[in-house]
Order: sequence, then C-alpha cells, then structure tokens
Amino acid sequence: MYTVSAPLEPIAGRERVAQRAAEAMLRSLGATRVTLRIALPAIDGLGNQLGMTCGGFEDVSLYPVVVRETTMFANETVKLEVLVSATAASAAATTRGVADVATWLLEAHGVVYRDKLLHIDSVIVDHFAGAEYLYHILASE
Amino acid sequence: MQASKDSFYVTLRDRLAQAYPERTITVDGITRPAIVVVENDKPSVTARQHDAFYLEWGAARAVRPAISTLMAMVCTVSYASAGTEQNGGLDRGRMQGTLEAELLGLCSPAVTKKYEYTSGSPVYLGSNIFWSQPVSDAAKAEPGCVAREASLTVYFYPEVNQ
Repeated sequence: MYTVSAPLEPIAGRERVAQRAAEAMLRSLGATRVTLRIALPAIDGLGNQLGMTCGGFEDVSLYPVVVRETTMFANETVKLEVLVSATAASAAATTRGVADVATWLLEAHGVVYRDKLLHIDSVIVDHFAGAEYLYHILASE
Repeated sequence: MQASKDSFYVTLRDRLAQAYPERTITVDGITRPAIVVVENDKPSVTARQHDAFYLEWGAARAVRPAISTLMAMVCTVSYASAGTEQNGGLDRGRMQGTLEAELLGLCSPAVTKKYEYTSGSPVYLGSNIFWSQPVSDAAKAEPGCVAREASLTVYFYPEVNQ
C-alpha cells in the first residue's frame, strides 16, 4: 500500500487560479472599461457634518470589466451588472490605501455608464480558496 | 426649517463632545463626535456604526395653525450597541443603557438658540428652538447587537425666508 510521508496540503497560490480565470473570462467576453466615481474623504468641519460641503469626487477607471444590462423593458429604469476582476479592483483600491475592496465598491458614489451616474445597489463577491476573484456590482438609475 | 435642524444637531454634538469626549466615531480617517444626521451623510453609506447616535427627521406640522406659526418636527434618534469584546458582547444591554442615559443628558436642557449656518459662520436668528423629552421604543435584538430608537419633537418658529 502506498503511503504518504506527510499529509497533503493545498497547493500554494491556488487562489490565483480563479483570479486569473476570471480575468481571462472578462477579457474573452470583450472587456470594456467603466468609471467608478468615489467620494473623497470628507474635510473635517461643521459644513461637512451639516451636509453643505463634501470632499469632492474622483473618477476611477476600472478595466477589464463586463457590463450586462438587466433592464427588461424599454421604459424601465436602467439596471446594470458590472463584473469586475479582483485584479483590477484590488489594484485601484490598494493604490488608495483601501483594504476592504467590496466595501469600497459598495460605498462608491456610483458607476458612470454612458454618461449617466448610476447608484450602486449592492456588491456580490465571489470567493475561491479564501481569496476574492470577481465582483458583481449591481447598479441602477 | 433647515436652521432649526442644524441648530438642534450642533447643540447635541457640542454637548456630546463636552460631556462624553470619548464617544467618537471615525469616518474616512477623521474622528468626530458620535452623532450623525443621516440626511447629511454620504448617500452611498448605509452601514451604521455601533455606539453612535443617528438622527433622522420625520414629519413636520403646524402646532396650532389658526393662532400660531409654531411648527413641530419629529426627530428619531437611533443607536445600537454590540457590547465589548472582552465581555463577548454580553454587556450590549448595559452599553445600550449607557447610550440612553447619555441621550437623556444631551437633550437637557431642552432648549437652544436658533442659528443660521448656511453662510459658514453661525448667525443668530433671534429665536429659540425647544423640544420634548425623548421617548424610547422597545429595544430590538439584531444580529450581534441590540438597537433602539427614541423619538422627540422639536418645536420652532419658521423664519420668513425659509
């Protein structure tokens, strides 16, 4: 009988498999680019707390992404599902010192799509081997 | 109406900072007194922090339309606590009680001067606002915390240009 000297362990770095597969899928589906509008940190002060001033906004370009319109009828408000690879989202978030990418996406001011600013309703995160590999941003008018 | 809402918030915020300086929250890296007007917060932020007071403005009405211009507006104060980590959250009810006591303290005295804040520096408008004692709803057990809402009514005279 064949025995192993040490218990088998997960292959190191296997979480990268799903991340690369997700990125490859998005690129093969005709990756596009969307703009995420994020609110800059508030300037400390009474004006901010009273809703009179804000810290401003920054437009962050995300690539590769796939945008799927989920609107059923012509007269319905626009609803989108934006698939973002973890690689793209993490790169944008980490350069801004953000660790929790999903919350950062959820709390963004919106997604700019065809010159319209859409509100982000929810963000769904796909995991594999303990790592995030795909974000579904659900946005609507 | 806006001046009344602003004056009420600023009064409670200043009282909180003075009486309970450790009661703070950190938003976007900035530490501030743990009291927030929901309608003034970022619209994309829906998550609320524990151990903080969240103010929401409700219905407004004339108190006695035939004889006075006095207005009344409902303000709901929401707060939740998960307790402390060292006690495994078992003290969330006690922390909730502390928040209630603090809220009662913040609301007393139930009167303040009304200021206009739009111009940047507060301008006294020559009248006061006053409010009722907060009335608490039953505490609600939510996942990992206990939450409560207290309502009070703020009375004010509307300014001509509001």
